[in-house]
Amino acid sequence: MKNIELTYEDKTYILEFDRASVKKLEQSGFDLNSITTQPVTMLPKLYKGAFLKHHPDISEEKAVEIISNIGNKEDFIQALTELYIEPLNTLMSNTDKGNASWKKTW
Amino acid sequence: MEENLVGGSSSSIKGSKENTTLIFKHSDIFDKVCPFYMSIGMTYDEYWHGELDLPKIYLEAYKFKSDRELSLANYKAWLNGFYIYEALCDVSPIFNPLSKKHEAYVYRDKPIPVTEKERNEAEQDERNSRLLKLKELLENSSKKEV
Repeated sequence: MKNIELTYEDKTYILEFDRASVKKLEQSGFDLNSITTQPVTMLPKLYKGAFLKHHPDISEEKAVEIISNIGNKEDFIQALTELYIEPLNTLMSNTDKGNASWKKTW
Repeated sequence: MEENLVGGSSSSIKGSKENTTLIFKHSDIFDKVCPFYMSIGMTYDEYWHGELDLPKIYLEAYKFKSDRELSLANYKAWLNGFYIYEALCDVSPIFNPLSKKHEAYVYRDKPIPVTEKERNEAEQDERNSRLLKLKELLENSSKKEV
């Protein structure tokens, strides 16, 4: 299972998404499409959502505080986004091999 | 169905008249397919809180089970047809005016052995029966000599 291990103030946090935490996150108003246009609103929600599965008591403010201490935030947010879409990817992946093939042209 | 998947009642439209966008929610799909996965044996807790790969594994197991059940049903239908065929062959002399006996053959007194254990037992019974006949034959021939 994909997750992120984060250490802050000598405590290790596991950031992970399951289908329930994605649903809770979306119910709080999170929209992945708006993450670039409304980062101030969306990113704190994403941070809190990542803590929901293993650390449900962490507030949004605490989540923002922990993550604000991370260097290289762009890569971190990219990794968080990958974690967020993983529950949908695993549901939609198809193990049947069809007869279609594709290749990149760039 | 496609409209529900993309828009649906639980998605919302935001923006001005000139620029309306549908919010696509992953949870809409999760809600939609949850009953299917529960119908193939996944628990509610496993679906929402379990390992992310579990639905894929349950789906593969469901396909295996479906194929196996289809094979078994097909075999049972074939076996049933075989018994009917044998029964018709056994009674056919009654309906055949050219048949000498005009009597039905005796229908088999035991089912066809299908499992390995049943086949082994049937072979053993056959061997015992042959040995018994041979024994009787030898006893009869020794009595005649006397």
